[in-house]
Amino acid sequence: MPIKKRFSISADLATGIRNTIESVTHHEGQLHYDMMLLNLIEPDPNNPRQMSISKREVQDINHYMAGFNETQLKDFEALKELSTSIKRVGIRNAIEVYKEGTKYRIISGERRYLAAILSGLQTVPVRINQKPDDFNLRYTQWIENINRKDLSLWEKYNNLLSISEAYTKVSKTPITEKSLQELIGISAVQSYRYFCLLNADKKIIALIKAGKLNNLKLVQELVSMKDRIAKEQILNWIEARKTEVTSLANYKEVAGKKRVAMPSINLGKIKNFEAARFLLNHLLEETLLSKYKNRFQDIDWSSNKVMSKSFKKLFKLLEAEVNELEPVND
Amino acid sequence: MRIIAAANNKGGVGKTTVSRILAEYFSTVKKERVLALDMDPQANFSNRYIKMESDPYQKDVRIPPLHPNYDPQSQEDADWDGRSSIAGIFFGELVFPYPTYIDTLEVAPSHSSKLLLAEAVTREEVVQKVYDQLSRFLGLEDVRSSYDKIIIDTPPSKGPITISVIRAATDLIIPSIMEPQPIEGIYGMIHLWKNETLRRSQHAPLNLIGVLPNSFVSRGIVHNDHLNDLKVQMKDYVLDSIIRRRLIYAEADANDAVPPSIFMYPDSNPAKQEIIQACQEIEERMNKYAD
Repeated sequence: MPIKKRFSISADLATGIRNTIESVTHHEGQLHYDMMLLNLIEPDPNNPRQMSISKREVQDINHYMAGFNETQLKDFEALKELSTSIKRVGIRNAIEVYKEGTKYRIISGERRYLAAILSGLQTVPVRINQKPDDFNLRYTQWIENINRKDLSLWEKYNNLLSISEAYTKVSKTPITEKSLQELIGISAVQSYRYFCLLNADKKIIALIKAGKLNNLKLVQELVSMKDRIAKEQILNWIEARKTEVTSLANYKEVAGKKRVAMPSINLGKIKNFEAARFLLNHLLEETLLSKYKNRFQDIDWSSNKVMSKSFKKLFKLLEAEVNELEPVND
Repeated sequence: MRIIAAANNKGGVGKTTVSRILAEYFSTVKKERVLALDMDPQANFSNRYIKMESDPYQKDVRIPPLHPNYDPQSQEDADWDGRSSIAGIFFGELVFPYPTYIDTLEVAPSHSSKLLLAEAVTREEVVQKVYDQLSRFLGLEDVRSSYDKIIIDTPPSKGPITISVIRAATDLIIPSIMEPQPIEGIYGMIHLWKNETLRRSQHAPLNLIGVLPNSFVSRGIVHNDHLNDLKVQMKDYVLDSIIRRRLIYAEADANDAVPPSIFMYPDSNPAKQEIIQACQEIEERMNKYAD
């Protein structure tokens, strides 16, 4: 008696069917593309990357162009180029929008939007999204902007600031170097630099805003500089310059042999280990330093290396404590 | 207004049968105003309700007959050749649905050569126009206010015309025989459904009503096995009802069949019972989705 034959849908077809059904249930409306009237679209007023030219100026370019400054002229040239290509091949990548009130607000594609106005288009291709939460919106704009060559450090800073604020709001913890790295997918070094930028003091930020500092690496060097006086000198020097500073090479030329480091006092050498131990213990009894006592336990009193290190550590703490006492002008 | 499309890119799986059953169910049993729309160049769906004509000068071509309201003497019809098909929407022509033997059922027939022409377009910008044309037509206020249901029969392909139907539809039914090749056709259709669902706004979804097993042989192991398998892979999307393989469907399809519709058979007829059950299940599934 022959065995009864059984039949089944082929494995790949079965997987295909299952996966297709699956992908629909999770992504309804995710690829919602359409043609939209330009006047239904508006730029995001909170986009960290502010175009130097506004929609109104583009609409009546002949009237406004005479009053344009250098940045605006540069931006306008770029828009004109984009508009030429749009006239030839149309807008290839849809502008991403979400519904906000009666209009649709741009998530990404503000330049395409302005160039479309410049080209005299009535409608543009859009991808309609759900309104993203603040964090995702800033994140998208950051990703959109991060790779642009023409983005200034000031714009990057604002970008970073808003993404960090949004992150803090969502995750309830402040952003860290590590989370920044994971979030944006950059190297540890780059993340450290951005983190320095985020923590830069007011003076550095002011220089960045003024366009005198535009180099992330340089900012990192300045922020991480320990020598306060030298830092102050360098910042003053940069402030006095008329153009952007890209490296400190010129600073040395200008500053010549002038000392940039704080003058220091040599505390001399000591040969008697017992005396050194006495001095260290004595200093640790001081009210300023007594709280650090536990950091100096288990010291090998017979090793000159360990002893020297301990003194170095202690002097650093002492300096810091003394600095705290003095009023610091910011 | 709901727009129901029966689609499967494999031929001979029951698209026209299901379209017929639904058109007759909603118009005769539910007394709703129905428009039967035939997008298949083979024109079988149209031929059920109006006598399609052959054009002796072209091979394999079926064209709609002269419209009953056409008056060659009238000034009003001076610019019209008296024939109207749904293919007209691709050529800027007006569409005049034809009345049928059922009061509340009208048909916008196929036109083989015109539909084949629309199906064959390749230029990107023209293709895009074809995609959106049916949806535009069915969006017209005139159309929306005239019908409760639109039933669309589609060609056995995944070409521009099928896509235009998918874009216009609110509900999709995939008739299929439970055999390997037609099941591949199901895969092709749910792909189109996926693309369309991702593309559309969430507020106007394309509801996948499901696969309707057709021409089913209960004793056939291959049919049972494939049906069971399919229910595992897409459980929410396979209808419980089945339409069995019966000669009566072919008989009702014959020219001058009496009675012309299975719904006119006695209630004791098993074919009538099974199609009513299938239609009711489809209706219930449609009602689950908001209008």
